[in-house]
Amino acid sequence: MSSVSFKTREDVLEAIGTRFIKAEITQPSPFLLELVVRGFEQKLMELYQQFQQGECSLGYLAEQLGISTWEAVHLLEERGLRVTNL
Amino acid sequence: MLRAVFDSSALITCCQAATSGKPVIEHVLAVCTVTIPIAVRNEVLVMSHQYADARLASDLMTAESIRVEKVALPPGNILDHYRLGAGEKEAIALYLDKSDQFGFLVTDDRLAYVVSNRCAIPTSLFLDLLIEMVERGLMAVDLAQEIAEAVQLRYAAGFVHHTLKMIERGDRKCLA
Repeated sequence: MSSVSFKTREDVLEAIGTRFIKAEITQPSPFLLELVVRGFEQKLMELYQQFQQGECSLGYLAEQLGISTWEAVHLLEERGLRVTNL
Repeated sequence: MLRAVFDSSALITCCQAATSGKPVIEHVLAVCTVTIPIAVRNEVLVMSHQYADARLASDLMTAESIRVEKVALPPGNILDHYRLGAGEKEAIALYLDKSDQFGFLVTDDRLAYVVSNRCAIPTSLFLDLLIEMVERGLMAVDLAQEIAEAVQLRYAAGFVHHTLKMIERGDRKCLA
């Protein structure tokens, strides 16, 4: 495996993207799935904080996660989080 | 009959909660014409196979109980500079485009509420719509109180308590 210098976030994204393409991943490894899930949860929590502070809307939160507003509401409810920022 | 534009946040609230043997949206539709923009409709359609609340909204759209209106957002419009979703932006644009047809925009999202107000749109939280319905004699006090209690988990405690007091006293300015 070639070594990659991860200086910036873009470097990381490019390296991961390149490996995805090279590997033609159809059955992702548990490690890869774990990475994706953790990344999603991290992004969700970042957006949720912004949503709760009124910096973004529920619809924006959903769009940034690539899901619908209805999915976002159910996803937040499943985690025991409030679904409005009022 | 009231006439309101709903965004997804308010529509989901009404489709998830139920009281007096009916989903809240059906109590609302009995006294208020609800219109949603295409972006909100599209989300409902995609989700209607997955969630019962979205299916309810979809069925009500099919029956034309919930109306759907198209609106065009000009490129580079001011709403794109806020961190709003397509449904919230279209709801605001729809009201502005056809303001003579609607009395309120109903949203339970703080940013959408602020931006809508800045566009000089009469904007209501769903709880405020309940108060409006009672004030206009369109909904019984008991039913409005039941609905406010049915949706209370969605709001910080002060909002529901304040709503119940305003409904009970028939006075928005009450402090005690």
